[in-house]
Amino acid sequence: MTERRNILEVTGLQMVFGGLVALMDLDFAVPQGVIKAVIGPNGAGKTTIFNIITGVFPPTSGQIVFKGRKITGLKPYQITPLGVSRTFQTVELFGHMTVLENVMVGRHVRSRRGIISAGLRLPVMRREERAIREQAWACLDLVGLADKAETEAGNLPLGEQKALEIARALAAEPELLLLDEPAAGLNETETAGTAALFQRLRDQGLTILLVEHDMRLVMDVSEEVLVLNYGRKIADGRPEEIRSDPEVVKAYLGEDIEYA
Amino acid sequence: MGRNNLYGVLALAAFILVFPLVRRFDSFSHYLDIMVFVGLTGMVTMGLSLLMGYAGQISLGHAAFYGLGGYTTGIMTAKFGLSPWLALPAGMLISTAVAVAVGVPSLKLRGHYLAMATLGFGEIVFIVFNEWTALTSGPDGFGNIPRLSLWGYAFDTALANYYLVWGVAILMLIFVLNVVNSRVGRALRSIHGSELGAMAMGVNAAKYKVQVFVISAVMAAIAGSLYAHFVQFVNPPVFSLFFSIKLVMMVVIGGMTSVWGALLGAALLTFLPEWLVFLQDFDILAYGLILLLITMFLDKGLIGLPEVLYRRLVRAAGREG
Repeated sequence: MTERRNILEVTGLQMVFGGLVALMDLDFAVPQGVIKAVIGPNGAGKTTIFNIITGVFPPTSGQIVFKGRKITGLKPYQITPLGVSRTFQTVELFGHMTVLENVMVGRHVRSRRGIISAGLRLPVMRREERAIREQAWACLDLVGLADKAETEAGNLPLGEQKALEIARALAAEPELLLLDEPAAGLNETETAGTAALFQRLRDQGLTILLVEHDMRLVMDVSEEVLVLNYGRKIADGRPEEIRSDPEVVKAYLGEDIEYA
Repeated sequence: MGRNNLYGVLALAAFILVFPLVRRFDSFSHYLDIMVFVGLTGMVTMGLSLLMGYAGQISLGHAAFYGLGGYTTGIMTAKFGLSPWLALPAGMLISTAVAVAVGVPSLKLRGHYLAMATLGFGEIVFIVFNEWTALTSGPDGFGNIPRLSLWGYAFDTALANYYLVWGVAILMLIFVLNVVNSRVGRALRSIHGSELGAMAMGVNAAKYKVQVFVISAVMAAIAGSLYAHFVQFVNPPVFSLFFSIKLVMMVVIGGMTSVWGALLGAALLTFLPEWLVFLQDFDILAYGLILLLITMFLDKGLIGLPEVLYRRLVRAAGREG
C-alpha cells in the first residue's frame, strides 16, 4: 500500500466513565481517502471513539489530530465546520421536520446568516437560503431520497432514515465521515446499495471511518480494519491481515471467520 | 415565510385596517383601546413564543422587559424632556444588555435555569420601580409622558395609536415568521427534534437560545415604550410577576409552537375579561374554567382548534358511513 497522509491521528486516547474504563491507551490513524472500519464486540468502545472525535464529550486523556490540527476538547459546533460529520447508531433525525429540512440543517455549518438578517429577510439571506435548498436537494439525490423530500422524517422506514442521516451528514461537506452501524436493520439489498454508496464517496475523495457489525460489509469495503476489545486495540491492519490474526480470531471473530 | 403565512399576514393587515371603520356598536372607543392593548401584548407574546416554542425556554420576567421599555421612555421623555426617538433605542439597548447578562450564564446550563433567573430578575426590576423614587416616583408612578410624533404628525388619538401599534406588531410578526422559516429557525427546531443530532450538525444551541431570548426581550421593550406613549402614565403593578405569568399563559393558551397562536392567546386573554363582565362576580370563575378547558382539550392551544374539530368531524363521518 502506498504511504498516504493521515487525515486523523489518535494517540494515547483514554476514556473513563466514573471508574469504568471505556477506552484504554488507544492509538490509531486514518489515512486520507480510505474506508477504515472499527470492529469489536458490543461495549468495546466504538461509539465512544465517535463521540470523542466529534466533541460530544472530551476524553479523559489523549489527543485527536484532524488534518494536522489538534481538535481534542473542541465543541461539536467547532469540529463539524472543520470537516468531520457523522451518523448515529440509534437514528438521531429531526422527526417532525421534512426530509428536505433535515438535510438543510446539515448545511448549517456551511452557511452563516444570522437571526437578524433572517428576520429582515435580507437579499443576502434569501440567496443563501436558495443555495442551501439546492445543495440539500443534491444530497438527497445522492442517496436516492429526492422523491421523499416533503415527507416527515419520522414517518420514513428505518432503511430510509439511515440513508437520510447519511445525506444530512454529507450536506455538511465533510472530509471525514463517521458512520455508526449504517447497515444495522437493513436488508441485504439495502446493505449492498449502502456499500456501493460508500465506495462511490471514497472514490470522490471522502475518508470514511465505519463502525459496523456486518462482517461481509466490513471486509468488502474497507481498506483497513481496527479491532477493539474491552476498550483496547488488539489489531489494526488490512482486512486479510485481520482475518488471519490469531488474537482477533480468538477474541472476536471465532471460528466463523471463513465465511467468504 | 411560506405562502400560508403570507396570506395570514395579509388577512390580519386587512382586518386591522377595516376594523375601525365598523364603528356601529356602542362601546367602540373602548374596543379600540383594548385592541391597542392586544397589539402591545401581542408584541411581547410573539417574542415569547419564539423563546418557548422554538428555543424551548420559559421566561418569567418578560413583564420586566416590558417595564424597562416603558420606564426608560417615561423617564427620559417626561422627566428629562428628551426625544422619544432617543428613548426608544435606549430602552432597547438596556433590555439587550440585561437580557445578555441574565441569559448567557443561565442558558449555558441545560434545563430551566432561565425561568429561575428571569423570575429573580423580574422581582428585582419590580422592586427598583417601586423603591427608586427619585427616578421612578415609586409606587404611585408618574404621568405626563408625551405622545409619540413623527415628522410633525402627532399620534394623539386612540385611532392613530391603534394604527401605529398594529403597524409595528405586524412588522414584528413578519420578522418572527421569517426567523422561524430560516436557517436559524430550522436550527432551533432541530434542537427539539434531537439535541444530539443538532449538535453533530454543528448547531450551537446555547448561542441561538441567547439570541432568541435577547430578541424577545427587545420586542418586549419596544412594546413597553409604545405602551408608555399610549397610556402616558407608568406605574409598577402593570409590570409585575403577575403580568409575566399572564404572558406565558397567553402563549400556552394560544398555541406554543405557533407565532399566530401567541397573537391569538394575547387577544383572547385580553378580551375575555371584557366579555365575561356580565357574569359579575363569577367572571373569574368562568375565566379559569375556559382556560382550563383549552389546556385540557387542545394540546396545541387555541390555534389547534380547527385541526381538532376537523379530526372529530372526519371520525364522526366515518362512524356514520
